[in-house]
Amino acid sequence: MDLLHNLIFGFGVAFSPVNLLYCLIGVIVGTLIGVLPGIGPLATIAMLLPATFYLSPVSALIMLAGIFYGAQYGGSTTSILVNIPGESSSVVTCLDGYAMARQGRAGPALAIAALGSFFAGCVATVIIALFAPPLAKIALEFRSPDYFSLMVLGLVSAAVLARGSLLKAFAMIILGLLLGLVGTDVNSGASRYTFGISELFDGISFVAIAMGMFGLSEIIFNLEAKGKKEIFTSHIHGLMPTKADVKASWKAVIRGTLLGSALGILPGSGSIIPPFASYTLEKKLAADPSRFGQGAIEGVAGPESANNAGAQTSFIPLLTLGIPSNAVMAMMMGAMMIHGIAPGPEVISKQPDLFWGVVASMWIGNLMLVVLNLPLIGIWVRLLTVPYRFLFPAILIFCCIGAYSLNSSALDVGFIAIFGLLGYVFRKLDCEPAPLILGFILGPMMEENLRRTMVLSRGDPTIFFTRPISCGLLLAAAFLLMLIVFPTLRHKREEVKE
Amino acid sequence: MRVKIHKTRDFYCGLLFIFFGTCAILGVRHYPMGSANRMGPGYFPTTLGGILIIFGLISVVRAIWLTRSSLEPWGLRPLILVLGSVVTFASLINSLGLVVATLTLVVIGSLGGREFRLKEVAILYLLLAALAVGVFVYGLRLPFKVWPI
Amino acid sequence: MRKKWEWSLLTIGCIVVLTVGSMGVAHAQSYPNKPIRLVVPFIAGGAADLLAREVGQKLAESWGQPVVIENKPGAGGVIGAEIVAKAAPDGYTLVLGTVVTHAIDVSMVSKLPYDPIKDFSPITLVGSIANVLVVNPSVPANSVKELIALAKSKPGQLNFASSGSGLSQHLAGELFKTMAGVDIVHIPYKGSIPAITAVVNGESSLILNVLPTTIPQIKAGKVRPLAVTSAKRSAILPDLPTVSEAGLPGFDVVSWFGILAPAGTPKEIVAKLNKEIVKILQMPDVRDRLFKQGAEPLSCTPEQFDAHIKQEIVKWGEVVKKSGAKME
Repeated sequence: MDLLHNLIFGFGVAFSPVNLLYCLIGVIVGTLIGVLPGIGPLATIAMLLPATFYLSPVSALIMLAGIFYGAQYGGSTTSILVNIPGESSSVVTCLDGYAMARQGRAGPALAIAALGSFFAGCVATVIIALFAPPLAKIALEFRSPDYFSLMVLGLVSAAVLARGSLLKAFAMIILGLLLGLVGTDVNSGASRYTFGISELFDGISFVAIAMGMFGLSEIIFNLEAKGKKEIFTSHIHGLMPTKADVKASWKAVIRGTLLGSALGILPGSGSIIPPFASYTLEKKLAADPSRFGQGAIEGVAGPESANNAGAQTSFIPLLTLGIPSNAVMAMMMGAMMIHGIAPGPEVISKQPDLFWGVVASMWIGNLMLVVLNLPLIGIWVRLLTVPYRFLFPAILIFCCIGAYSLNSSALDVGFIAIFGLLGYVFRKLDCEPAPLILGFILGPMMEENLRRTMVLSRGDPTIFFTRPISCGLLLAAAFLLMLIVFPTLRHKREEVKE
Repeated sequence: MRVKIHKTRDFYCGLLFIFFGTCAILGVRHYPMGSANRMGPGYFPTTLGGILIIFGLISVVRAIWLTRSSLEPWGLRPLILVLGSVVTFASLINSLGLVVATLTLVVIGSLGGREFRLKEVAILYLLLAALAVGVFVYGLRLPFKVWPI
Repeated sequence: MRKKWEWSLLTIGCIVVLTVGSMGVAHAQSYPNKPIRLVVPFIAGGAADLLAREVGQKLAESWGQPVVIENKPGAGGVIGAEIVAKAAPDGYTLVLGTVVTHAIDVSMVSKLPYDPIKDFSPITLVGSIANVLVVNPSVPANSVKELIALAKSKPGQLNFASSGSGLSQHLAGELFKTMAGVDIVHIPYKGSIPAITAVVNGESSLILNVLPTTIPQIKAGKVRPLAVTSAKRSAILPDLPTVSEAGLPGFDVVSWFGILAPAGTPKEIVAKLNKEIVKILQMPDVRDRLFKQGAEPLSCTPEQFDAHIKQEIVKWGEVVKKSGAKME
């Protein structure tokens, strides 16, 4: 079979000592970057790019790719341990992962995240090998109306994330949308809500909001809690997932992988939407949705698999069409061009060692990551047994430095404080930050695509329904909305009757 | 029937939403709304702000009619100190450098904790400062001002 | 006693004056003796960033002092440029300025927080990236003239994509519009990659996109190139005519990049930087890598750069006025 041939060929390329070494370097650096809040794979790849000039193109790409998906692994570590998402794709992992850590189950959470990611990585590798060109064509079919409808679906599912009042969840989503609009408007160039502060022209930094609303508010809450109880229970329930854990998670992993692989291909949405979608799906399919947010392991397994699968499949548009799906891919494209390779449909045929070598290296990289991360779990878990009064200043330091290091901007650090206050106030009022963050991420894209669609269709809104993809997504959103709203209404009516 | 406004979470929540919604609308009042065909920069934010105000009003009204739990007390000390420590860091990092900013962060932050023992905080600070400088300045070669001079 | 005091003061005064005075000279002689900051007002990984890193690395190698690249993206480059405009003119803070930050913004941004001429000391140009006019393959036009005819026959129906309002692609499109007298609709995207993708999948008909992100699509046949926007033919795509040759004489749009220091930087330091950077831009491996990315290396004297900026400001001011393009 051709596929087998190609894969074997690819493994031959990827298994060379040089490429193995660079793969290892890439994933280690990537994991470190993911764990450190603030610095992300983009800046790291930019810094390391000159170092790759003297390498062969295959080695260079293998290393850079390793940094990218390695960062996904690292990002989930901080989400689980200290409720701080290292990357936007790790936000969802905070919800149940951190809850599990509080219950002494950080080990199983980290392990399931690693194993789920590994499974997803393997499957995604096969998918890339088999379906890259046709999948890329599908991805290209997505136009502005379809993206808008996808965002609508995403936002409706954001309401599912919340555990409390639906009204508050929707309000938080809207507030998140508004926060996302801060900055320069793409369509007109006008600057909104910037108060003349030039650093706000490109919007509030995600890192500041995430660290503030998740991390800082969590710290304040923990500090004000009365009583001698330690924040992280010192009774560790073992480092590895139990049989029950695995039984509960394996379906979530599969679903997450498929969801992530499908959604990761879409240029622009990249690795942000898959974890959210997976979480929503798991919560809706679960027998007891109220467990979510309190340590349901499916809430970690699904999203983690989704985000790793998404990270890998996001390579597809670049490797097959020469269209980078996100900023990191754009850097890779630059790296390829520097090495004299024109990314595009011919890469598969004209540079098979590059394509298959990189694909095979993704599998190897995932394996390395699991081997590296699993033993580290013991260390991470032990870290949590440190008394909180030592732990939280350390968290504060890494947050502040991490945020500052992004753009050497003290203002970003100041924003952490502002959003920390906001996050604290909202939690006191029973409003959850997760829907807000999703609104923040998706809002600008949603508005941009809405306005562009209206210009393209010359003001005709029916285009959202005449395009099949868009229509399908909007119907799914409406269906999901009904699923969410009606049970709540019924519940309310019963409550009022009493 | 007496209408009693329960000073509940929903009530304040609603007020907060109304506040933000109003700010949103006011913030873009100078920008053109445009038409549905070519939406101006004011269209989307104003609509969202309006929806938020409506949600806020619903929340306030619900607070009047339904009984919910009352507000939890706020821990002002940790709130002010932790936030203050971050703000101090932000204001000092550019002028006095990493080492000093870290010091203020650790000290003020620790004051927000439940216990404060000087020796522990001192050791913690030295450890964290060394780690921070080691990882970020030497390891990652980030352009930080380390010392005040 | 009084005499002793006076002598001491005088001596101290002399020493102070000599030290301060010699700092200017000593600076140039011992420059650089600490790391240099090169501010790039764009995100890491973009064409500008890669260009800066190329130059920065070679500079660091030859001078033995690290050149730290600081990405300060935002507001189309205004944030980064502003930082350097206000930095100390000691030669340790430089900026990679572009046609946007130093020629276009002054006409497009209403309250620009710096003056591109007065607040900067130009060092040298480093490169230019041409824009190339491409169309979606389904568009029935094989040359610029045919495109103009098509657009005239269908006013308001053709779309042109751009990487954002107020950036060079937008204004290039506006210039095309006014010079050709056609009515094409501007559709802004967030960045040049979504913009070119839109032309590939047909959402937009044409674009005057920067070369680096367009080359892969041209090579793959996903878009049809019609012309380059520079005044001279591109060395990277030598078979393509320029827009000027192909139907709109006088059309000249190029994204140029250059390195500048804050105003008041000592002349010796400027000269030293110029000499070294120009040398770097002549190195064959640097030129080769830049070509591969779609950039053409340039170099010039500080005075030439200064004149160039002034010319560009006038030119783009005209374009903005004539086309009425504005940031609403």
